[in-house]
Amino acid sequence: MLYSIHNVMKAEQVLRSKEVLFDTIPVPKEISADCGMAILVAAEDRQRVQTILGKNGIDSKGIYLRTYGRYEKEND
Amino acid sequence: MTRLPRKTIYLDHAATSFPKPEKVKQAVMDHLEKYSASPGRSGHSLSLAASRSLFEARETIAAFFHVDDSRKVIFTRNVTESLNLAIYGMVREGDHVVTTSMEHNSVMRPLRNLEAKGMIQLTVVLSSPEGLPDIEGLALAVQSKNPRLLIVNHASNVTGTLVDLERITEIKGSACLLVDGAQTAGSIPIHLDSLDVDLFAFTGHKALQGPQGTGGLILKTGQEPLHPLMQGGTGSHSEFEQQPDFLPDRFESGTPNGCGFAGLAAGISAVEERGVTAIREHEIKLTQKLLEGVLPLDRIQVFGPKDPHKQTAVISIQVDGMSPSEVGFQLDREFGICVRTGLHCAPAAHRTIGTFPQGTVRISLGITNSMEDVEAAIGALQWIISR
Repeated sequence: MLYSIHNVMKAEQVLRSKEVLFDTIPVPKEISADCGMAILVAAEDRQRVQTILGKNGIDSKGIYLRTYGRYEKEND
Repeated sequence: MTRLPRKTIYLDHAATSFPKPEKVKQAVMDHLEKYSASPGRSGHSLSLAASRSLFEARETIAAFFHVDDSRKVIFTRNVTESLNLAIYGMVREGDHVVTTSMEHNSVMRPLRNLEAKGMIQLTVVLSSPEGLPDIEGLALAVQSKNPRLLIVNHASNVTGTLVDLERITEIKGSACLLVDGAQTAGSIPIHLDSLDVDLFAFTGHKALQGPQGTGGLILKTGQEPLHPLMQGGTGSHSEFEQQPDFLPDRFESGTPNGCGFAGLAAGISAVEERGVTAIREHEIKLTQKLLEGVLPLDRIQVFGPKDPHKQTAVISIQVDGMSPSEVGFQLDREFGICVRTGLHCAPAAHRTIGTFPQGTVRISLGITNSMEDVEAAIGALQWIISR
C-alpha cells in the first residue's frame, strides 16, 4: 500500500527497472476506501520490494498478505 | 477590397508559441483518442494509462529543470495560477512582500489586492528605464522589511530584460524567493538544482511549446508552508473529508488537463531535441538582426537593453505619430504580421520604461521564426513609417 497514485507510478518505474514482477491493482476495499491503486507482488519478493522502494524514497503504508483472496496486514 | 492570401508571420511568441511542433499535436490527439480517462481514480486500465501519462509529464518537467523529485512539480492551468498559488499560499496577515516595478499583472494584481485588504505591506523597488532590477535597492528592502516573499520575473514580457537570478539569490536573505519564469522557461537554460530559488512558476504554452491550459509551480524543498488554492477530490485519502498533506495531491484537486500535459511533455521533448542552448543562440541571432534593422529607423524608438545577450527575443517599440494599435493593425492587415500592442498586462513595466499609458508594439520571436521573418518585419516597419 502506497500513499497516492504518484507513488504507485514511481514504484512502477522503479520496479520495472529492477525487473521485479508486479501488478498494479485497485486498492482492495477491505483494506481502504481509497480510490487509488496498490502494487501486488509475489509474497517471497515483499522484503526486497520494500527495500527497493525505500531506497527510492517511496514510503509504504503497510504490507498486506493475501491468503485465499483475503488480505491481512503483516505486522512489522 | 480584395486581399491576396499571404503567409502569416507570427511574432507574438511572448504571448503564446505558435504553431506547435507536430509531436505536440500528436500527443494531444493520442491522449484524446486512446486514454483520456480519469487518472488515479478509476482503477481500470485506461485510468492507469492516463495516470502514467500524467506521471511521465511530471517526470519530464522535473528532469528538464533539474529537479530531483517530480512530486515538487505542481501542475496548474497557467503561470498566472502558479503565481496566485505561490502568493496567496505563502503570505500570512501582516507579512511584507518585496518586488520590482517590472512585474506582470499576474503578480501585481494579487499583491495589490492583498495590500488593499490590509493583509500585506508591499514594497515595489523601481527598476531602470531598460527594465533592469535595482539589486542594491532590493537588498536594502529585504534587509529592512524582512519580507515573507521576494518576487522577481526572470525576464520582462515587455522589454525582454533578463534578470540575474544568481545575484537575486545572493541578496534574498531569509525571504522566500518566487521567480516568474513565464518568459524564460524553454528559451533560457534553467537548472533549479544550482539556483537557490524557492518557488519557480512556469507556463507550458510559451517557449515550452505545450498547449494552452498547462503550467506549473516548482517547490524547492516540498516543505514550504504553502496553502493550496483549492481543495477537492484527489483520488487519494478518499475516506477523509480533509485535503491530503502529501505532494502533489495537496495542490492538485479535480481532474487535470490530461491531454494538455501529454502535449506539454511532447513540447519539452521537442525543445530538448533542439537544445535550449541552441534555441537561445538562434533567438540571439534573430534579435540581433531585428535590432540592427529597427534601431536606425526614423520615428521608431526601441525600449529595453537593445542588446540580445541581455534580453529574451522580445523588443518593444513606439512609432512617432502613430498609436501602437494603429501600427499593429497595419502590420497585420498589410503584411500578415502578428504582434501584440498595448500594455501587455504589465502597466507597472510600461510606467517604468516611460511608455504609459499608450503602451508599445511588442515583437517577440520564437523557435519557428527565421531570418526571413525578421526581414519581413523590418521591411514592414520601413513601409509604415514612410507613409
